[in-house]
Amino acid sequence: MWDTLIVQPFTNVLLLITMLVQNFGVAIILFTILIKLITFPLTAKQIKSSQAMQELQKNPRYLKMQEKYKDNKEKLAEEQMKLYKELGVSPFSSCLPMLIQFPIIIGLYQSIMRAMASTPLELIKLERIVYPFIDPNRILPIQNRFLWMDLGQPERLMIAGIGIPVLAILVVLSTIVQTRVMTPPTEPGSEQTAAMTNSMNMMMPIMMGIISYQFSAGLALYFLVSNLTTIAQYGAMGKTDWSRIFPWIKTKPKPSKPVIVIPDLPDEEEEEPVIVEKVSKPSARASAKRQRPKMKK
Amino acid sequence: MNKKSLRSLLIVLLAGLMLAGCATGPRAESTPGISAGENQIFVSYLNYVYKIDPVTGKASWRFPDQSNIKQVFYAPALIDGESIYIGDFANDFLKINVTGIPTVEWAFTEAKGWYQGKAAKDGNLIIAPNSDRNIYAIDENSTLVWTHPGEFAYISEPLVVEDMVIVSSQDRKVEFLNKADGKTIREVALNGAVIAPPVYDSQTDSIYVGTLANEFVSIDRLSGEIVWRYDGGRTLGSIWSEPILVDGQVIFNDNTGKIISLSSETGHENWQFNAGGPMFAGLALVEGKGFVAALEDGTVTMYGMNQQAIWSRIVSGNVYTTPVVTENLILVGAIDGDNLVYAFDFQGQPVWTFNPER
Repeated sequence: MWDTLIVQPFTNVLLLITMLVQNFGVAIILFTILIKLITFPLTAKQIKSSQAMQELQKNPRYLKMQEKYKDNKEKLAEEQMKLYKELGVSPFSSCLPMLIQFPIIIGLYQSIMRAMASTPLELIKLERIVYPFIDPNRILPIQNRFLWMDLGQPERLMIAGIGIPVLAILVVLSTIVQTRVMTPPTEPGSEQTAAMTNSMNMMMPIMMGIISYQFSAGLALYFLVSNLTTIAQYGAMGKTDWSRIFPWIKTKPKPSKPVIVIPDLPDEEEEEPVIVEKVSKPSARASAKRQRPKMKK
Repeated sequence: MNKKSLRSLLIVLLAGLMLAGCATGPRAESTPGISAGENQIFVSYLNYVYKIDPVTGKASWRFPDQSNIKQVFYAPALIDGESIYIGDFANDFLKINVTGIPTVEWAFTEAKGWYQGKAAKDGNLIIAPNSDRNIYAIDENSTLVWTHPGEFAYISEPLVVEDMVIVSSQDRKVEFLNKADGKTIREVALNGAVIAPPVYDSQTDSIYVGTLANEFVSIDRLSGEIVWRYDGGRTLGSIWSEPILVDGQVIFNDNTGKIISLSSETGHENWQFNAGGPMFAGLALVEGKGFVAALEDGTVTMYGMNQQAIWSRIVSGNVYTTPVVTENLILVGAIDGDNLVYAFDFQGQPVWTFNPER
């Protein structure tokens, strides 16, 4: 099922691109970008949702709520959910696009590995899943050579007799940039979360570097292109503070952004909070609810 | 850094190392490599090379004693008296003394790719194909004599005839090299990749190869001219294995299970029949009896030269490796089944099976 729905179509598209451009390295690059473009609406949604959540966490009412109910987790959760509902923000809305993207990314990785068949048995298995519109004899086995790399082997650029893992280094660097781009700035009071995020941000590039160093260059190339595309997508959405990543870049102060203005946290006795103004775009349901006249009991 | 963040860092570090560790294992799937000599059988599969007792089917030893996750063996061993030559997926080519406890006499470590194909030996010269797109010629002391670079991974056993080394290339050609220096004498372009090793016919002084582009050809060794080309009126499938030579006939199979006999001199079709299913392993000649064909689904059949089945057995698993015939046994390697190797006598009676200890 997984193979038929995800891996086989992906592999065939990859083979088709390879057949058209006559270069497997270029095909991996184009295919990765293509998949990233197709999944861009999901990425954009994920970015927007996480941005909304970040904005919300800066809100005085939210912060006050944290302080007020710090000893009553249940109540805190209840109040938070109420606030999310009022503002049309869902804490899970950034997870869903990520969950949908996950199988696509796994499928992409598997299709690249499958197309790089390096033994007769792998070739036999690859030939079997080729769709009729691709002539396997024209394309198989795939020429794995790309620039100085053998895409089927771990990459090393020989300089003065020393094999330098250029691709693995680039993967590490791009992963550092990508994690920084994707990680929101630390909020005061969330030191523990920040520590966790920092260790993840430290480990991810190391882990990706080790895998790229030891795995075939084709996979490392995919990692690199995928990282660069993600960075570009974040950049294109204007959600990146480049000075956080490259401190030598000076960014102009941005015009003040619309702020969610919410009145102080109501006392527990109060039934309904009254929203004074809300500039950020809430969900349709939340807008409708807001415009409805409130009946005092 | 406080205690909590240090702990979380350690957990992530551990998880990272575990994941990276998983990434260092065998990265390619292949079939067991089987080779047989006088009273000795060697099977290479995953992390070990096994020496099998031909009588009992038990492993006398395995090499290395402790597995190394990076060292994967799929290439059949080249047996040479008291030694074997074998390459692995850690890019090393080894000479191993196999008289008692296996001991590595030397290791050639200059290649940058995997050894998938069996090596060939001619006099003092050992010729090993490698996935790094090079053929390496090494002398008995592991000194590199020459290297022949190509465009694709070399995965099949080279053929040595007089002063020539002939190699199949996945780059849709057959290459004829000078045995002395590895320089190209000539290349013969074909329509598809050649996966199986070439077979030499001394009667016609020509070699035979099949390709993935549904063709089977005879090439004159000295001139490099294509003597004849067979495609069965465009009914032939792709060819993944080497042919056998019997009494002026060259007999081979395609991936659809078709077994075809041609006149080795003219390429004229003598006969053909379908063995009944997909077939990637080659045919194995049993002198004076006929030949053995193994279908992918594990059906092993002995055919007489009149194309009549003499016996048929089914082994558990899938067969992609050409059966190996010894003095009195037919060895069939299988994957994804109950056993790795099945031994039959020439009457088709099961003699033993071999399944390595996990």
